[in-house]
Amino acid sequence: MQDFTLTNITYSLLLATRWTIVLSLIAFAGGGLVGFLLMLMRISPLTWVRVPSVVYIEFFQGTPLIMQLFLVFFGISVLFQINLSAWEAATIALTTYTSAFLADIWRGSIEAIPSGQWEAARALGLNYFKQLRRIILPQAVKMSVPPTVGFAVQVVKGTSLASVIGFVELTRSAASISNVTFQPFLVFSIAAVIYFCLCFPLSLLSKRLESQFVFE
Amino acid sequence: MTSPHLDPATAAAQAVDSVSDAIIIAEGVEKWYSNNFHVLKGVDLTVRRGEVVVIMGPSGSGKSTFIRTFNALEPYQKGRIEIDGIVLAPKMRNVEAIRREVGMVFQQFNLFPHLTVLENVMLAPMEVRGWKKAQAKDKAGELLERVGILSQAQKYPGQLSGGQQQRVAIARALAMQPKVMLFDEPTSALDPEMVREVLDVMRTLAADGMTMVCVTHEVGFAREVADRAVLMADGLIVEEGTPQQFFSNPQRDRTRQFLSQILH
Repeated sequence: MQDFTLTNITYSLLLATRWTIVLSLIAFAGGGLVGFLLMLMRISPLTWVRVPSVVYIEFFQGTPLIMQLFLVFFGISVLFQINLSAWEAATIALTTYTSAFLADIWRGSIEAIPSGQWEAARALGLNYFKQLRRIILPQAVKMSVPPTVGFAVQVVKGTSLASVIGFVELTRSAASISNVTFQPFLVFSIAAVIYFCLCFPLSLLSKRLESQFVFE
Repeated sequence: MTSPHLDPATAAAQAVDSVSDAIIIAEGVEKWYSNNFHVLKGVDLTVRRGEVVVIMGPSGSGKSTFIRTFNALEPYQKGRIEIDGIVLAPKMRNVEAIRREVGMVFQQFNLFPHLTVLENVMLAPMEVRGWKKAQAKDKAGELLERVGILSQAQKYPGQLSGGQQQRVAIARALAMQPKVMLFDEPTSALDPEMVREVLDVMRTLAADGMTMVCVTHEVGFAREVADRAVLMADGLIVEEGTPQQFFSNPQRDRTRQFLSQILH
């Protein structure tokens, strides 16, 4: 039987951490893209544009991520007769989940811009998209950076749930290793430290950005 | 210009007669807010090119709402508004075409805080008129000099006093070379010592022949600069006339009552 030293447990976990990071990055990039479009729909003055985005956002915010993972993993194969790999299902579910929250965070930042800014832009003859692009978004982006970075922490932690559908990332790998080493406390402690090392810098960054924008 | 010896009715009739000379024609404008409050109850006003009209009235009388219908910041439900020959339909497609020609100055300045003073003034000509950067910069510099802020051009609005910000706001509106300027209580949010610098800029503008509609309670400005003074109350125009008549010999009780309140 192979001997598991602290070093090679940690090494194995760090290898699995790569997938946690990759999944987080994809979820964040994809969720950001979808979330931006959702946010545009959500602030639209047209009801038929706004309503679908509200339904989407409320659904993905109002159900547990783990349920969404199951729904995507099992649901899509039933509905569309295609088998998704754990990897594909995890990517889709984390992207939709992230997009729903980012859309709401960004909508909040946009609604925090005083209405006088929209009015001044309109009065100058800027059309809706120029009002957004030149006046509203630049101000809203500044405001939304701290909560967006803060939410990245939730995404990193959220990837651990992908383990339940068989995606091998940090948590799944820790479970497997603890099964063979019979040292669950040690293994999960190391995994927890790794998660903390990923998340803590993000929290710090978010707090720093927050205090930077306060004076504006 | 309205001759001082005409009575208000004749002056108004003349204004309507010379339609070609009119740049703003509002007829029977009515507006309800979403809570069914009837804020404008059929307002008529004609403004001729180069004319300076001052609108006064108690708060809630609908005067700000009324001038905000001129650039479609407020929709209206009944009546008709024509700006420089274009009818402002309640649901019109190309509303930007009107807004390009109508400058507006707000009580709260509404400068763009993420842009420098210079960029605030350059933005609309570049984005809306498609000017090149150099051209917009020249024009902005010229306007900032005219309102006395050129030395602050690289600062951000938050670094300026209220009076300076409002002067930048005037320059920003002028950069679009509008045919009409609307002023919505431009000095009401200012500390008293800053009112004069803003009114001075507005005086110069009027002297240069700009068509101006100003909602303001600055009686001195109205007497000196306005061609016509208008009193609005409860969503209607109660009285209009030359400043001379309006302030010295008002015809309506409502006007007398209002003037006694603001003149203390």
